[in-house]
Amino acid sequence: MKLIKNWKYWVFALIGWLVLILLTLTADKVSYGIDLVEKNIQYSYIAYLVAEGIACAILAFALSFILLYYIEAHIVFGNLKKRNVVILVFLFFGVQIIYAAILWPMLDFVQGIIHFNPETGLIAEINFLKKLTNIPYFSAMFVIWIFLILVIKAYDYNKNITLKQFKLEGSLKESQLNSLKGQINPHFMFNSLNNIRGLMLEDVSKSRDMLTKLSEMLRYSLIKNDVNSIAMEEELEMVDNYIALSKIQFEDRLKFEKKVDPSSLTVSIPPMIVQLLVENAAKHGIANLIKGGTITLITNRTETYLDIIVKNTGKLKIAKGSTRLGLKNIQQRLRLLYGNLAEFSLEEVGDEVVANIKIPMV
Amino acid sequence: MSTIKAVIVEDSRLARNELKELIKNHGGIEIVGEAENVDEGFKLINETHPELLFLDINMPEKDGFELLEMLDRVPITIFTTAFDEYAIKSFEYNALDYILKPINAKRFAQAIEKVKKQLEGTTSSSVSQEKLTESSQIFIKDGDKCWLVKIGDISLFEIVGNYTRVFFNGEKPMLYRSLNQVEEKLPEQNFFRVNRQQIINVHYIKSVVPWFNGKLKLTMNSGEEVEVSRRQSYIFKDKMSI
Repeated sequence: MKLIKNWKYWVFALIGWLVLILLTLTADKVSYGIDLVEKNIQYSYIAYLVAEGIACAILAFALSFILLYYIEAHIVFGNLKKRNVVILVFLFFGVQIIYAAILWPMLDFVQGIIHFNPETGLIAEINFLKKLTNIPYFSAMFVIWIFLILVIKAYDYNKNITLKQFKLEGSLKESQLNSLKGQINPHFMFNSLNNIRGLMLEDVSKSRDMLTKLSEMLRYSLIKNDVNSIAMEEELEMVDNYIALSKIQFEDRLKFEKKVDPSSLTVSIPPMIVQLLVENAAKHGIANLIKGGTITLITNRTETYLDIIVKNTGKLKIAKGSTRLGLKNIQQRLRLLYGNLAEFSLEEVGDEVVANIKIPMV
Repeated sequence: MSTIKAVIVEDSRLARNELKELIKNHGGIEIVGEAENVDEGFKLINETHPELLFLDINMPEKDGFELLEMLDRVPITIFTTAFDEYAIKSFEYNALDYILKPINAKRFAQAIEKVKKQLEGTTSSSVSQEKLTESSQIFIKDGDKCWLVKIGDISLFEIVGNYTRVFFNGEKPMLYRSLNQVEEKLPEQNFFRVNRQQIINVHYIKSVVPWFNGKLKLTMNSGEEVEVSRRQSYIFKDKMSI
């Protein structure tokens, strides 16, 4: 935002200068000086003082553009340079000297217009020393002006930064979510393809069926990547596909049980989240057991929460070299989407590992 | 050329079928057994002494690397993996080959060609013997690093606590077996126990100098100096006919 190019600034700054100078300089001079002049020239004296105030304000308004130009061109709040601040201070005093230099000839000119006779008034008595005392006064006025400008600039800067940060956080969140939603585990995909190849040697129609299921999973992970919620029903279809494909890998070693609350089918959930729990149960549970085990999926809907429970036979041990990426992924996604309202836990109960996700019902 | 005796260790039945089909189409390889986990595989390999091992990495309870660690003698190994090639690429020695599942027939043929070349240098009778030979390979895993080392490349074994440090080609990883366990398996014509702490490969001796008390001092090619105990010095002189 450049004030210098904004007509509103021009209007408000001019009014501001006029009000400031007229209230502090003119009003003061009028109230104190009115009794000191003879009655017959009181009106022209007041007229002169008002004209003097207006002239001073306009001159200040005009000269303030020098400072404003420099501030807008060189003072950057995010990257404040000492050199620029020093230059601004010198420029400030420079402007004061110019002001003082122009002020008196200008006032002479104003007197001429108003037809106010200096010999009868007080103005003629003003000598050089008295003229110098005016410099601190106008400097103070300029300090007030510069303070307001800097406040406006700081406010504007802060607003931009916050806005940028919001945008940044938003896009970061989005990209995080996109990468977290994740794709099909490549290990799973290639193993499935290889198993289907092997299956073709003994059961072609089942192989064809498995290829369709794998395609559906691929499509799901590609398309659902840009949505943040999906009906539980759709997600469960993918889980079924995943289990069917895992069964050709694990065969008798994998058993799957499902207890799904019918009222939970229509609830919206983040895509791939149940899928990830089941995948973890297979990868870290069943895959590590020579005799295999059971994966159980339970969903429950209450007034306030949707409960998703995935259990698998096995012990909760952190595999060496495991980054626990899957778990972190689930936790991060829930936090990004629901803040602190969603819960996720993973614990060992008896000879089973139980993963539990609670999603708030909105 | 005679057929190559091979074993498959892979937990997925369909993947084994798929591999067997490929092997059948390629010819020249005889499957002497298959196992679906590491413990079964370990037993099978010790019974059948295959020349070639097709090994999956991800298996229940123990992975393919653990199988290699368990084996006294590692057959030529081809890893079959869906997506773990980074694990194999991290090897210090590029002695292990890998093929990606689903397996490309051309890539498979290349891997088998490489195996044939490796087998040419070895005598086939050595495979079933209890003792290791110069061309036998052992698998060493120390921390994150893995090596597959030919016995003939090793210059020195040294006791470190209950374990053994193995010196070869400038590397010296730890082998988690005792020196006595190692000694039992080593070929006698190449290796000699010079003292309580060390076993040397006689092909890597640079010089022999008489030391005091009838002892000998050996300098190895790699620069290490080894002192031969008095008792062993007599045997050494006899063996080397000095």
